[in-house]
Amino acid sequence: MTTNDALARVAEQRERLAERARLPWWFWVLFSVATVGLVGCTLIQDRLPAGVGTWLVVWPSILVYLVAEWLVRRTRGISLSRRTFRDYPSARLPSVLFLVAALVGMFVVMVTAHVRPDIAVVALVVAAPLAVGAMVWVQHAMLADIRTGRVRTP
Amino acid sequence: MTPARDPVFEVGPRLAIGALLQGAAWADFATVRDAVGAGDSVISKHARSLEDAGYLEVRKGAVGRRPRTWFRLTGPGRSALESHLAWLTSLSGVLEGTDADLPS
Repeated sequence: MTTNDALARVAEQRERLAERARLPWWFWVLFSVATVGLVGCTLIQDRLPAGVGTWLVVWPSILVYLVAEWLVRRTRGISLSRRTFRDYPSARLPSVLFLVAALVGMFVVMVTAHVRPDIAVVALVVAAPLAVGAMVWVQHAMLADIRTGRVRTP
Repeated sequence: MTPARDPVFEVGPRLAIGALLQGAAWADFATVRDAVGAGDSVISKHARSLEDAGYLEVRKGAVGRRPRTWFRLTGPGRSALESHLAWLTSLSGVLEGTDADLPS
């Protein structure tokens, strides 16, 4: 095997890993449902008796996310590092964007849900897709790092 | 990281196995076998060699009733692979330079 053949084989394996690491469409559906539920939970919690909203929205959203991740791990045959920020250099910026979108969205919805529900709905409509979009970006960045061998798993 | 040739990665599909595992935390046996395109016995044999060299960690478990084997590169394995890849890349650069100097 020549040097170039060996390097081509390495590139081929990285590409195969990236293909396998790509999250399926149903994961994004479940992830979007969970994100909308978590960012907008206060909107529903305020309209239900104390504690009921948590059981109807917050726990099911967390459960949906955990089930989605479990299904992915079970079907994919690989597991990737959970330390996205440390191990995938290209995913740092979108990871920060995801956290900002999700946390700011949750905060604005929480603060305004009781007094200005219209603002809370707008915050939910803006923040949830932004958070999901940032997570899609995270995924693309991770795949790019896998393809170029930039993953820093110790 | 110093580029260094590592003979462990020069035999059979070990470089391919290493390259596949480089980007993953863990990969199961079937995934490695399918991606590398080798048979069960070949993967087992070379996984054992990588494990003996201290480059591969093997974990056996089960999903339901099915036994499943998972692989991951160890820290030394990852370092050795990165050094070997750096050596291959530098060698490739040198060879390309040599080719460019050859009269057509």
